[in-house]
Amino acid sequence: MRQGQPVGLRRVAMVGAVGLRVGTYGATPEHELLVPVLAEALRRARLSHRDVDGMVFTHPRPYCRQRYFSTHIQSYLRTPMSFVLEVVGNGMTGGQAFRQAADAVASGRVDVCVVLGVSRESHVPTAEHMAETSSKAVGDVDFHTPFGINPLTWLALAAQRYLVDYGGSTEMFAEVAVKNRRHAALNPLAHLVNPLTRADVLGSRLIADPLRLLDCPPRDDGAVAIVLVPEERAGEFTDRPVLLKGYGEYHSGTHMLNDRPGNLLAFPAIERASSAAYAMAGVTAADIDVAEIYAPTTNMELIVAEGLGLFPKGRAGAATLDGETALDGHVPICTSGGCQSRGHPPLVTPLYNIVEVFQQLRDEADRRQVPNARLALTTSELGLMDAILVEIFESGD
Amino acid sequence: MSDGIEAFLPRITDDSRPFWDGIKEGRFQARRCRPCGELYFPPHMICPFCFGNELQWVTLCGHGTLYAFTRMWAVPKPFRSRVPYVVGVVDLDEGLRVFAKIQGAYEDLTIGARVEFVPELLAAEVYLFTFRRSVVKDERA
Repeated sequence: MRQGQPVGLRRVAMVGAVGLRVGTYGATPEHELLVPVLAEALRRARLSHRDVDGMVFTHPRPYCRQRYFSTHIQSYLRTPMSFVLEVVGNGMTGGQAFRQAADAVASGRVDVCVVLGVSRESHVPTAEHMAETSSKAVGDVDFHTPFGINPLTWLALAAQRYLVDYGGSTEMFAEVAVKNRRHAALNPLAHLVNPLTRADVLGSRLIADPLRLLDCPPRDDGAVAIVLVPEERAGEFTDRPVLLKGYGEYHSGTHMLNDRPGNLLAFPAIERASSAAYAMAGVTAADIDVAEIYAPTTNMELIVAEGLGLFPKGRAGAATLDGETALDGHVPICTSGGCQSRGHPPLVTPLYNIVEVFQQLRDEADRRQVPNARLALTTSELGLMDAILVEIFESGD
Repeated sequence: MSDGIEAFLPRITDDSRPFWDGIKEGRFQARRCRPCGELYFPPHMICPFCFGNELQWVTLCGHGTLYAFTRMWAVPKPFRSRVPYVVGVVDLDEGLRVFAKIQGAYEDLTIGARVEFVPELLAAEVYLFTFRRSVVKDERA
């Protein structure tokens, strides 16, 4: 595996990262959610929109009436530029958009590149969304989807195996939700902030056994804009840049299920992608100060944390019960409140994860600040860990 | 059909028709690649191990072991009238892992249970492959 930074590429810095408070915005159309967020991200990076020379958008949901969304926004803002892209990557959409923007800066194709997107979900009823879109994304439409599945089906199967293979308990899952709610209560961008107990989670209605409503994310709306520049120019835009130190990506060649019987929780993509990211950054899992994991359901936070090497296999559940993943624990995870409480606008959830570590690494996270956070890790994934992106960031001040 | 289930029917093509005809007739088939010998599922038209296309249909014994299962309560709209139902992962005796509906009550199922293939009508004369706890005791049970 290649060690260290790629030769011949510029290093990339984040100089602005802004998100809309996650929630439900009713009939407000996509562009009205996104444009104010973009304007604020540019203002904070002391940029005019005329200074931007590249934009990478997350491709909006099929429900978005405005097609060619990126071209529409370009026209809306009268922003001619040399590089515009709309990216699709299922659950990794936001992460893929970030990587495309970072690559464009690293290669010298553009200098000031904004990665931005909007995920508008709440106006479509859940059962309709599953019927129209999500059940057809999470499996082979001829051999999986006819059984009446949704994304949570697969995460529930992984949850059951976590309980059986590792002697886990649903209290462990519930504590992930409780811990994330405590974090969300300290995050102005979070959707759900009322106090939560394990009994609340374990008493909520079943969605896909053993997962219950409060193990699962709400269906949220959200919008994010993040400004990337080459590291050598970062000082023009901020005193406290956040540096992209490493990244990894791996696609395991499966769509939810491998037809060769084996350990369902092995998830080779996580280990491959995170090993590449650690090698590029020149760090190990033990060096990570804060991790913002893409985990729609509580059990997946445990499984991904273990895959990343933050805990040994089967140990993240007990660690969570012991408070080790809370703000004051030794590996704080999902300080934003995570998908269950910060909220989950799926197309841009990976970008919200990056917004959170931007704030943590700039010492801007206020009451949820992890003291002396220097190195942060983010993930995004699609399917049942069919593919995953891992990014490692470092405080640049 | 007015409940929208037709949008969930598998697309039956010239290539896949033998599989779906077999399901309706009570035979669960996979494909084996003649050049490389690998058995695989779903029975797609190219061998995923060697990209070969000299394929043969293989009728499996229809018996397997339940690896994981979940009971669905929140489902796509056309499936609402069927809630709750159980789906899961079965490891077939020939060494293939498949996903399918699992018949029977959730409470009666356990990981490691022996299960057997049984076709079930979805709609429009299309039968899906499902599994239920084995009724015929076999030596592995």
